[in-house]
Amino acid sequence: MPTREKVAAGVSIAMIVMFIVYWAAQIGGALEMLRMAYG
Amino acid sequence: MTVLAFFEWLDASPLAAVAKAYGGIYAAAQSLHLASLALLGGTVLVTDLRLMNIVMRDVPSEMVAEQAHKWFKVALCAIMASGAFMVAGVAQKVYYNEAYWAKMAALLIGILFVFFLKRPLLQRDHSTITPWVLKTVAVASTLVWFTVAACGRWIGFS
Repeated sequence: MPTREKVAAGVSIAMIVMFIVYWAAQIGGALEMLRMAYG
Repeated sequence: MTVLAFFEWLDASPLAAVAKAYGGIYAAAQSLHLASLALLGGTVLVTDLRLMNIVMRDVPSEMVAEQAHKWFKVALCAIMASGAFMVAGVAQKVYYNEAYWAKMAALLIGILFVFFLKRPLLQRDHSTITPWVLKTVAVASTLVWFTVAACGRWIGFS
């Protein structure tokens, strides 16, 4: 696999993980608020 | 000049004076911003879904990526121009807004990703690129622009 493809794949995977973690944290925060407010 | 000083300067600029005094012009800029975001989202989706082999499978992906990228650049310019005007009107407010900085971070990542990784990769013959790499790039692209759009809307609710 050429270097450009390796770099593109590595950066893309890192971005996918980062955005999944970011949105999971946002959703987790909302669920935590609901749990504290409504039990 | 610090970032806060820049936003204070922006808040006192003639651009901010127009944005604050003329609601109609501000609303028009918002409409242009949203329409440009729709265009940008359309070009991103059509390219990424084609790379994932979900839509327009009878059209060469090189052609889709090439045509969509032209309009992506038009949309990006319109988004940044209208966005700069909109920010000027609420500069002091957005400086302290978490969603604004999340959007700016995602926008910067998206622009760097498109112009330094995605576009150079897609300028090659797609049949020579490993299929899972193409799909991974498409998923990452979709996620970053989704985040830009979502954080943009979040600013309005925070």
